[in-house]
This record gives sequence, C-alpha cells and structure tokens, in this order.
Amino acid sequence: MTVNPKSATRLQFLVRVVRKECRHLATTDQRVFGNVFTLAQASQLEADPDLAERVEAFVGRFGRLQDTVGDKLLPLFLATLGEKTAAAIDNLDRAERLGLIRSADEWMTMRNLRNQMVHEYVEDPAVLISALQSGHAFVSALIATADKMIAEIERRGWA
Amino acid sequence: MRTPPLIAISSFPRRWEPSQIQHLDSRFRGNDEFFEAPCVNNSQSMRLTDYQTQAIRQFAHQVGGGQSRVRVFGSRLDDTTKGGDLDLLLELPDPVDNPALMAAQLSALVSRVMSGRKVDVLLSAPNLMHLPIHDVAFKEGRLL
Repeated sequence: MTVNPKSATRLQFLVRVVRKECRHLATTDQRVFGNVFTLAQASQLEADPDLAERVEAFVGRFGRLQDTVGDKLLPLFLATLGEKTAAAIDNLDRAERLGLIRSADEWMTMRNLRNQMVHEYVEDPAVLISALQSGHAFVSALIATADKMIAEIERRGWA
Repeated sequence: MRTPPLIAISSFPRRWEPSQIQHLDSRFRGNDEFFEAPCVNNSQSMRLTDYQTQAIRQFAHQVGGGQSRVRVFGSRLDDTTKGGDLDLLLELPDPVDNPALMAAQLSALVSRVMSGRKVDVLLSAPNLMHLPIHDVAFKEGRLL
C-alpha cells in the first residue's frame, strides 16, 4: 500500500518526535521515582524547588507523549490504514481492537489523571501523590504503546 | 392566523412558538439543539437523562463500591446553561488508597455516556482533606 507523500512525511516526523518524547519521559520518570517518592515529599513540593521542577517535567512529558501518541500519531496511523478517523474515544476503541493499546478506558483514565497531578491546585497531598504514582505506574504501558505503534508503522515501510 | 413553518428552525428564540409557552422564561422552553419540538420542561432542573443517571450510579458503585454515593453539582444543575462539563462528588464511607486513580476511572466511564464531555470527579473520604469545594458540592449537590 502506498502512502501519499504528505502523510508519509508527517508520519516520519511524528515517529521521530515520539521516540524523543519516550526517551525524555523515561529519564524524568527515573529522576522523580528512582528513589521512592513519598507523601512527605509531595507535601514539601513548595519548599523543594528542584523536586517541584522534576515533577513538573514529569507531568509535562507524560502529557505530551500521551497527546502525541493518542491525538496525533494514532489518528494519522488509522487514516493511513484507510480507516475513517472519528472522535478521540472511537479512535481509542479501534486502537484497543487492533491491539495497539491495552484498554481505551485505561487510556482515558490516564488522561483524566493529569489535572490531578498539578501541585499548584491540587491541595490535598494524598490526591497529588496518588495521581503522580498512578502516572508513574502507567509510564511503561504508555511507552510500550508508542513502541508498538512505531513498530507497526515501520513494518509497513512507512517510516 | 400564522401557520407554523413545516421545517424546524434552529434559531433561538424561535420564529414561531405555541402560545402557551411564549410567556415562559427561555430556559423552560426546551432546547433547539436537536430540532426538538418546543416543550415545557417540568422535570427538576438537572439535565441528565434517566439512562445517564442510572449509568452514573452504576459506575459509581463499580468504581467506589456498593456503599458509595454520587452527587451532581455545578453547572449541570443550572438549566440556563447548555451542555458544559459535569461535576460529580463521589462519597466514600471508608478511606481510599488511590483517590486520584479512582476519580479518573469514574470520570472516564461517565464521559462515555455523556457523549465524551469532560467529567470532573471530586472524592470525599475519611482520609481525604475536606476543602471548600466539598462544602459547595454537599450544599448544592443533588444525590443521584
């Protein structure tokens, strides 16, 4: 199957971006959660600017990778496969059926977690730490999804 | 006497309305979004269908356990606004291990029955802080 040059260029660009975003997320994930990240630390973010910046980088990179994979790469990949792209949730359901993501609901759950990861407006440290640790637990699945999608694109010779 | 047009008009206020509703405030005159016939809204002001209400209750029990209760608060209680986000308060009788995950799970499930609209879930549990937003949710929220 031949892909039109514009889509091919865009796919190749997104694959490069996703690769970088995966690497950066993995690095920050290690820097935040390498040692156990505790409730006491979550409560101290105001007083620990270095940790606060690392956490912020984690949240930003987590969100960016999820957006690039879910909102950009996935719709373009589906379109290139000849599938009709639809609302975000329908694309995720299709990705689940194709075995690209574990579960569309889990993906949406992780998306909804993100606004609970922002320490400036989540006032309860128990909620903040729960959001961050759940995000951390999802990192490997997120990176695995990105890898799987890239592998599928490469297997077809599109990137 | 004027005859009503044969096709529905999507503008609001309508060019033609039955006389019995003309005196009513616009929020009681139904909704033109889907070309519905003008109607008087006699139901309590909470723009959720029975199906949505039941689904939300079921999801709350699925995520938060059979003892949990769910309230709707915020803009959905206000009939003058169309659509908008849904704010839910999930009340849990026992301490919760992973509150952010629980809220995010309920939000993902409920969003499916709300045509993908954004759903914000606030949790109330013995081990969580009671913040001013909880007062608002308990005060104005309606139990489903």
